[in-house]
Amino acid sequence: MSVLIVDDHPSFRDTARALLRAEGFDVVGEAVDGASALEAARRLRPDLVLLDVQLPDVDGFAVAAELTGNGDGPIVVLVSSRDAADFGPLVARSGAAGFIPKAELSGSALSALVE
Amino acid sequence: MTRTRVLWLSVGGVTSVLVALDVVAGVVTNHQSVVWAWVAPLAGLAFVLGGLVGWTLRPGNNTGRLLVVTGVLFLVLSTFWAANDPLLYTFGLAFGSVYLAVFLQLLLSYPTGRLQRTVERRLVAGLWVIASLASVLPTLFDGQHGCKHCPANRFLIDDDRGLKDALNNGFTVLGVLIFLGVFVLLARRWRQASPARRRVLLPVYLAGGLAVVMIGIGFAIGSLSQTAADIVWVSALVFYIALPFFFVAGLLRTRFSRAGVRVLAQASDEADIAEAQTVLREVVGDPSLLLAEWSEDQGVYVDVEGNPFRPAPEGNGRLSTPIEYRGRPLAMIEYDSSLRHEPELLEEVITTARLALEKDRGLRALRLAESRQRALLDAMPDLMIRTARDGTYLDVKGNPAALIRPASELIGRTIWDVVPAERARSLMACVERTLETGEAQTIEYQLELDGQRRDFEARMVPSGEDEVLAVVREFTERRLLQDELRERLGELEREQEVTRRVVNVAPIVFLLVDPDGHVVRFNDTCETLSGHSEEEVRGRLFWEVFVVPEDGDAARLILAQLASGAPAAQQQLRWRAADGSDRILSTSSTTILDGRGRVRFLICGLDVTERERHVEELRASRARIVEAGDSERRRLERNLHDGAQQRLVSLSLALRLAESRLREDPDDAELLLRGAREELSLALEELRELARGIHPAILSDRGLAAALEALARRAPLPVELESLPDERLPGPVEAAAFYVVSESLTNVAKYAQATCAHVRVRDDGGLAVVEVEDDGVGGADPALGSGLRGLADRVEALNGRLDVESSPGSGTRVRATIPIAAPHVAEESAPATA
Repeated sequence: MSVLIVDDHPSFRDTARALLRAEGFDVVGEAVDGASALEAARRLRPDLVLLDVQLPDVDGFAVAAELTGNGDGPIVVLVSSRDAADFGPLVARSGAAGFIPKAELSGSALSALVE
Repeated sequence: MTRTRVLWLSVGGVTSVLVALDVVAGVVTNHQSVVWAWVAPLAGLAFVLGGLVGWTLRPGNNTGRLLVVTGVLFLVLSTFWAANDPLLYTFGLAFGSVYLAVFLQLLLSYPTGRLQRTVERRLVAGLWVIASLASVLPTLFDGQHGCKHCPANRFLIDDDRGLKDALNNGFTVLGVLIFLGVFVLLARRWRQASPARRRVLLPVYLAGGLAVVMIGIGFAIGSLSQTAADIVWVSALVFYIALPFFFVAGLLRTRFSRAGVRVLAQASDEADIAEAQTVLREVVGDPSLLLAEWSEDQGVYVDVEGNPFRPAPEGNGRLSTPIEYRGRPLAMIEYDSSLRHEPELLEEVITTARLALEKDRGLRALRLAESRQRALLDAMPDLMIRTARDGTYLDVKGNPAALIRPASELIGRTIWDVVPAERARSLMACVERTLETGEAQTIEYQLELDGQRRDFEARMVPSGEDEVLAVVREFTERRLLQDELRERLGELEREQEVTRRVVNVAPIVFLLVDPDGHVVRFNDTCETLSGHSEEEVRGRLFWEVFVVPEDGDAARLILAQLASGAPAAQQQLRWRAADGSDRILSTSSTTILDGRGRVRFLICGLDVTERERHVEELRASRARIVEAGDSERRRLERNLHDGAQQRLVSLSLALRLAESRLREDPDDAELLLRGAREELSLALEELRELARGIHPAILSDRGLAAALEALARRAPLPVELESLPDERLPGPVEAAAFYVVSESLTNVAKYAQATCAHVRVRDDGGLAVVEVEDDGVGGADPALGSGLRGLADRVEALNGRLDVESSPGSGTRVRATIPIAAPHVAEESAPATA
């Protein structure tokens, strides 16, 4: 499964890439903000976009809505170092498949949301 | 010599001569009884005397004169009768009857002395003719001529006894007839006379009547017996002698009647109409007389019992006469018609009654007026003193409290005796002035009474040629009140002056407007603040003069509220001064009455422009502090999130990856674990920095000096701590001082391009003075930098002050002064800055 990682923190991107590759995911690209994420998703057409909620330009919910708006977009999974309870119903409304706290990110957690 | 004396001397003189002649003739006569020598002069003398008395007492009455004429005639004739000279004797005999005519005229004209009716006048004229002829004609033919020894008859024409007797008899018959006529007239008059008139007539008629009867008898028997005739003649003569005295008595009686009328007048002093009627009845001798008084109220006559009175119709033996005075009805008098024959009496009675009634009426009016005046005088609270020109007290009435001495001691004394000389002089001058001018004069003076000063006012008016009436009124009370009032007025004026000054000095605008909003006046503060003078804007609408146009409605609302009786309204108005600058006035207004009781609105305004500015600054400062707190929390959250939190997330993922590689690829796992340890160190360092940024623990634990030393050591440029406080300062002050230094050093490091910085903190007499100085480029603007602005807010929250000197090229000096002793403010402010 091809994955696009979107996060402005390089240490998280590095760790997430290593973790997902180790668990058999194909990390096809990385983006640092909302605008580059949309561009990379159009260009790379990944199966899944791992999207941080807090981005420097727009927030992750808006990017998720944009990516999933057409119906044929990638699966979006939101991540954040905060807890899901901090965002309330925003995750469900964004069109994302689910939310995983960054500290609990794993291939199995990701697979569980995709299936 | 009076007329009376002339009368008595002349008539008396002639009479004396005649009496003497008569007596001489009577004594030397040879043909007459010697008795006549005394009787005849006596009779004549009696008439003359009676006549003179009547003439004197009643000069308007002819009776007296007739009596004198009768007496004189009688004396002349009786002298002739006694004369021995034949010519004189004959003359006396021939005209001897003339005096009878005079006598009868006297009777008929009595008591007025005038013959009232034609029949009387004709009768008397006939009498005179008969009396003249009755003796003359027989004498012409009487040879014997009366008596044997009588002198010869000088008038004898022919001694014809028959003719003489025939003439005598004829005249005797005529004489008797005339006497009868006289008698009838007198009797009729008697019958018609009122009782009062009868009392006058009675003695005369009695004596005269008897004399007449005797004379008549004398005539009748004269031809029969000379002796008997003589006796009768003497008797007649006796009555005849008595007659003038009865005449005089009668005249005096009419005089008494007049006195009776006067009694009426006197009685009327106190009399009412009933008494007047009684007196009138007595005076005129008519007990049926009625007197009725005219009633102005009812417009009719009323009798003595107060009932309306109607006079009896005439022709019923009653007559009535209205009594008027100056054309106004006074009374009606109804009386027996016989009184008509006494017109004099009637006239007199009516006149007197008129006077009496008028007097009575006048008296009543006078008494009424007097009682009113007396009541008025009694009611007057004033003292009334009548004083002679020389100052003698004549009479004292009224309020005795204002008297120097009791009234009884004053009367008879003079002003000079009683009043101090100086006062007496001025009072006497006023008396003189009053008498000189004849007009009322007023004088005010003071007297010492019982050691007390008292004030009097005397108003003097002339009350006689040489006296004045002074109405004395005491006004001590009034004067005391006036003094008191004057004093109060002074107090009031001083109070007013105080108020005026307070109003002008007070830093409050006082503006007085009328209910329509027109400026009436205002105080100095208002003038200073607005730059308008009172004269310039008086009468103009106050909102047009003082208030900015935008607040005009609010200003008019104040008036509307006050006009509706609402309580003092409070309002904030923006005022515009003459120079165009605006001030904010906090006004409160109320309704007051001015000195004349007119409604005015007082607008009091306090200039709160500065206060408002401070409040606005404070509000902004608070908002900035809150905003600073918020932004600090946002910064912390972001730092945590972006820093330590991210490192810890990465750490967690790296550890999980290392764990999964540990067995398969231990080398890779070791590499991962090393990276995780470095990440953890970085995370710890970031957390430590964050905690220090929130609040330096060393500051609360070790104090400002230790905290500043640590700060200086961490600073990226050399920092010299030149002075630090030895003692601990209050927590908020230490915190503020620390952040002033910390923020300033951060700014120096960031912007100043300085080589070093100097820090000084000292306790300057209750003020903590904190200074940070650098040798950098300068040009810092506290208004632009949020850091410096936040520092200023923090310092000002502690009532302190932050100054920044930062000229370009001269470095920057930040100086904060913070009061040390303001713990309560400081404690309150501390949490907001933590």
